[in-house]
Amino acid sequence: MRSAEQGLAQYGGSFAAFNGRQRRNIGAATLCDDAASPYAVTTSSFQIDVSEIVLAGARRGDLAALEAIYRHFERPAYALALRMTADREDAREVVHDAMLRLFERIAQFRGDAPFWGWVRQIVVNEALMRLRRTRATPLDDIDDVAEPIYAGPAPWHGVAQRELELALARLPALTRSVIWLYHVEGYTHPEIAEMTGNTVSFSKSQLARGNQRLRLLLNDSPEASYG
Amino acid sequence: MADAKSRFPEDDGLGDALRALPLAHAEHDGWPTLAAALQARRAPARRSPRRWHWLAGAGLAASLLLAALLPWSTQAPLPVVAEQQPAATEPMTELAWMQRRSSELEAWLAELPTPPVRDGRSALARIEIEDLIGLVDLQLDASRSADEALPLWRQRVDLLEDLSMLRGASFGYANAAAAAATAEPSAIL
Repeated sequence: MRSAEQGLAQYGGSFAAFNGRQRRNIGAATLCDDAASPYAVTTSSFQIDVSEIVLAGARRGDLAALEAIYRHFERPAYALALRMTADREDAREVVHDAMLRLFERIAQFRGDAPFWGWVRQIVVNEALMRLRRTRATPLDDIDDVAEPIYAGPAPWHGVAQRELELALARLPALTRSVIWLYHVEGYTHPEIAEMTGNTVSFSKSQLARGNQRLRLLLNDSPEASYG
Repeated sequence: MADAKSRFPEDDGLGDALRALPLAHAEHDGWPTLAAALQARRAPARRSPRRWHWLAGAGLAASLLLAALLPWSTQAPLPVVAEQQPAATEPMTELAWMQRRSSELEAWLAELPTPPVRDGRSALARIEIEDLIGLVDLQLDASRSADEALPLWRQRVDLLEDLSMLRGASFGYANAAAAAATAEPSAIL
């Protein structure tokens, strides 16, 4: 497998400087000035700066530049697609289609917003389209049934990661996507509502019910502990 | 309904727990397939650029004439390519992909609620794109072979993607720009 460094070697060894400015924002949250979601933070693994040299090459259709971009965003794109679809093959195809779309549109990118945000938006849209297409009732809601309210300590603080992975995978696709987009990618409820074609209150209720369902699933987990 | 964060204040920790999960990675390198797809989509355009320009010009003129005579509706069914010839395998494969892609995008757009008019520019852009799709559909109706239809389907998919970006992603871009504008310098480095 070629690395991003190899793909960028044709650009005068600029990768070192480019990599030095690379921002992976896990653990270094950027506050969003958004009244709709005052607590929202952007903590996306997509937050990677791409140099103007690489972007210029990509706009010209230079394959090495396109590969460099692919190498940088492949993993966050796949991880996000997998969280949303919960299917490895679907996630792989989402990344393929999203990158194809990205590269065919890259000449239109004008730089008035972060490039990584553009990449991420395309991946999210592709994943949502795939969810709608591949599932009979793709974006099913969690039933609005009365469930016990767990107001104690959040179980995800003491549970094994594997248990959290399994519980997350058991949520309906849309609920899981809303949780991930809100908590991890830092999207606001109005944004999620727009992307999914639903209302803001729907997004909020999906988040609340999803959180509650996760509590339920994790509290039933044999590995749950609160040490 | 109250925001989940006010209902369960400790749910703020869920984001930390989710971000701590290992970042999944694909088992296979997707670049070779992607590079091949990119090159395949470029190749037909390089083979007959002059023909495509002639076709586009002629199609546009015909479409303008037809558009003056026929009412056009965005609710029209997907255009059917007339007399698709079993030509070379590569164009047919790409043609099928474009048709599938076009159908997916159209279905996705149909499920979106009618967006509120936020500004005149967006509304005009949307109308313009929809008009252009209508023109491409008219040209597709007049296409006589898969080779003629392929660049039109490409254009149709491009326009639908533009439309989906306009309708589905405006919030995301706006927020990304706002985030960049308000980001703390230390967080950017």
